[in-house]
Amino acid sequence: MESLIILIPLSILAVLCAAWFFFRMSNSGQFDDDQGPAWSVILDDDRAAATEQRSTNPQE
Amino acid sequence: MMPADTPTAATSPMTVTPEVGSSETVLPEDWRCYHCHEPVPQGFHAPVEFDNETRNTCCYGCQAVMTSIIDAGLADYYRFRTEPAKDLPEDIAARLDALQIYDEPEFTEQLLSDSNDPDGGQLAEVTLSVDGVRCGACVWLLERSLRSLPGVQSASVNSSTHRARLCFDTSQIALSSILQRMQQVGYCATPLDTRQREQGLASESRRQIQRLFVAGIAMMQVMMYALPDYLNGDGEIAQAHLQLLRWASMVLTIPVVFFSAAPFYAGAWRSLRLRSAGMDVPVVIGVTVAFGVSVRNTMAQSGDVYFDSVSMFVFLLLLARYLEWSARCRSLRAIDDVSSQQVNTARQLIGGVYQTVPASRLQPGDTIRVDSGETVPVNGVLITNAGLIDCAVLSGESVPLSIAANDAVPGGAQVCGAPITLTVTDPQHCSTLSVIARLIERGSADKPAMVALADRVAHYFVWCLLAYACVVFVAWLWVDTDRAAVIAITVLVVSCPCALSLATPSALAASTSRLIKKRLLITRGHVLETAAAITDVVFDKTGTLTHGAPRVVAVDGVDHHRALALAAALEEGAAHPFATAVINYAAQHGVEPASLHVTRHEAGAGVEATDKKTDVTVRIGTPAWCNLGPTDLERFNQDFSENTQVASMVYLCESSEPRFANPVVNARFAIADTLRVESSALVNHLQQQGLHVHLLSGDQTDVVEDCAASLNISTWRATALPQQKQHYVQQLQSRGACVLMVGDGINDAPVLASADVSVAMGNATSIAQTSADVIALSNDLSVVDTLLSQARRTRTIVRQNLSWALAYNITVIPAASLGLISPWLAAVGMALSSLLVAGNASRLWWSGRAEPAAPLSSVTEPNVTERAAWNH
Repeated sequence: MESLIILIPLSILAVLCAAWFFFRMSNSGQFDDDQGPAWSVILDDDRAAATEQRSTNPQE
Repeated sequence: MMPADTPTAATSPMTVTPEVGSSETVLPEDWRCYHCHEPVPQGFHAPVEFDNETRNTCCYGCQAVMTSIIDAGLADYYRFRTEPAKDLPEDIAARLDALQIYDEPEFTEQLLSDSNDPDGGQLAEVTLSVDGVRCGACVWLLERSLRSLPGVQSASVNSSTHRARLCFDTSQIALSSILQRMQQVGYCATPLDTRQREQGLASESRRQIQRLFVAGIAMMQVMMYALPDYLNGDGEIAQAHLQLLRWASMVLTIPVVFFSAAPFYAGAWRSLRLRSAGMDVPVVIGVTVAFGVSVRNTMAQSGDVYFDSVSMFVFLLLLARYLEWSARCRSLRAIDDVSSQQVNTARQLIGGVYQTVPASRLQPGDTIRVDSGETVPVNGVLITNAGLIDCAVLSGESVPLSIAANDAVPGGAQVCGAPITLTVTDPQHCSTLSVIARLIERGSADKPAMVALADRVAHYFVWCLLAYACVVFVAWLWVDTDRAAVIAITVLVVSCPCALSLATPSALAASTSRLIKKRLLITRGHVLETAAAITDVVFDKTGTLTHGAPRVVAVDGVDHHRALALAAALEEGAAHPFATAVINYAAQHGVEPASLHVTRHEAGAGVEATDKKTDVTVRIGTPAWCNLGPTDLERFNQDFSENTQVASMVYLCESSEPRFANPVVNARFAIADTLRVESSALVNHLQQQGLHVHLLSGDQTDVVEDCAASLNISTWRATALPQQKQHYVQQLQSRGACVLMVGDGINDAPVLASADVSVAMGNATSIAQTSADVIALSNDLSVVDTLLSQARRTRTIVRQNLSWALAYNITVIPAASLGLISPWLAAVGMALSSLLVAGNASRLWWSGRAEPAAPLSSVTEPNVTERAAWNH
């Protein structure tokens, strides 16, 4: 049971880490849009990319 | 000019052409626009080649947008989208030019925020409100087309808030070009003022999620630490280990109390400063006392701790608040969208020509012109002889005021009659104009009676509760001193009237945002409450049951070209719908307006102009205005076959004699307005629900009778003046009816004001619409039914919520004061009851979302009636 003395502070540390990561993600705007990114994954398939290369845009 | 549907109206009233009104017509297969799925007008032909097939579009705007999307290689949009595109405003070309205004320094300063560029360019950031984002494919289309512009560094579109954030190099591309590109692919975007609350909303949303997350993760962890304590038999776990678990719980509860629960502390402090007890007060007392007792017991190594209850309580409460916040956020964003579209521009006389400039540039002494139907941008003094202005927004006075030369005109007033010319007296920042701010203020400051009542009840309830908790505490001191504090907290927590206070506002917020999604903007707090009790629905005809945008259906005369040129010149500058119809007709036929000097503008009759060279006077308007007697008309009808269509006739006459004697008829324009596709289905549906439908119009009797008959409306009244309409509504009300008035908002201000609930149709370009309780931005009549059914559902949900909250409080308070409920159970019970209420309310927002929004599969849907019926 002595391991608790290390494990419990460790669990607090884990929670703090999780919170830190979450704050970073939310500050970078990851939770601002809950639908758009999901869509862009579906739409940006190979065909769409190919179409775009043919488009008027040489820069991209 | 005068409203289109007053009986004297110039060019009198519009008519119904029966073929669409009967709405049983079966249209050919491609009757809908491929781009926006709106019906294609009969005989209109603007095809686009796509996927080796010819697709029909409903207007040149849609055709241009489709072509530009396909040309840019973004045609995948049409393959992937799940919703049709938004139909485009008719004046899209004019709007493209108007965008130049955003490049004026006044605007760039206000709208762009600088950003650092490592490459030394001049980067600027801007937030745009984008109208027309329907699904993920829109986001994809917009981002693709924006990123392909030179100078645009980054572009991201948020599909849930309809905001686009752009970072671009101002030395390479102007803001207006970016907006133009967006319009070319079919989206109207307006920049949001950097000082507007968009940033505030976004960061507050993030903050709320963070608070929720901290409380949630702490709750889970603390419960795990608390579990051994609950399961602990006598001496099974060493005291040192238990103590360690308690310290760990305390460490994790500290951020919950000081970070996550901060809004409750702020709320309680605010309400205490106002010497009232809001619902946050018992929450704060409960959290503080429970946390304090737990900390003391942890330090003293004796007694119970309640860290788990505290963190759970805060988490569940925050969850309920978060639901309410997101509903409110949606409505605030919708208001921002509308206000950002109100660009304050003015037409200033510079070097003999009227040019569009930002209103903020106007200086005292400048001369500006304001057209009929537009809003006066700044305070000024009238130069023209006379004018008619509506100060409804400023003073609430709904009757238009007549003003004479040298009278002061307040900024924010709306011009009703002929265009007026003003000398500016005050620069914009000290002008009376703050219309949109007023709209927002009114919408939010106006508390519905239900909410006000719930607040009052909750207020007394909290005081009673605090007193009652003290009594329980003292009583338990006699029975069991150790448990006294805990039981008092339990009573406080378990009975906190959060659910009671959240019951109504959360339902209203959910409903309001649901309606905004349907493009219905609620500007008064009482609307949803009153709309549920409606017994009578009164429709205005023009612009409400009909499109309100009449077209010229026939021109009879000797020289069409010359007649059109003269008519277009005469009608220029008049905002009457007939004038627009004539101008559009001329433009469609490639006729340039002649050069004429308009000398008279008689509201409700017509316009007069004189050709300076030949000294010939030309008039356009009603037969009476043109001095045409019955014999003149008869003679004209003999020359040209009598027009049998149910349409209004406008005459163009010339006379070279004084007082317009012996006029010669140049041409006769037949102008007609058509019924909206959805009118008939809507009226039917309302009647099926047992509502009385009335038709009130300023139009001529035969026209209104025809319209009423085709819509199956038995109670109708024609040739009604605004005052008579108002009287009619008041009479209905005196018989105990609760009246919903649907009008076009501009002509009907007095009627709209006296109805119990008023809905103004149209696009929110005219601020006069603020006199209505509800503004229908979609220009789709079937929203009336949406409003009524949503109001009824809101009423049901509110009643459910209130009865639950009351029943809950009544049962648990006695149980808690007898010590039958432990603190954690109290926290769960109380918070779950709030959550239940908020969740129940959010059904109002979610339930309607699954309904079909014109799915692609039904493109071939042939029946107009069915299409209109689905909108319900």
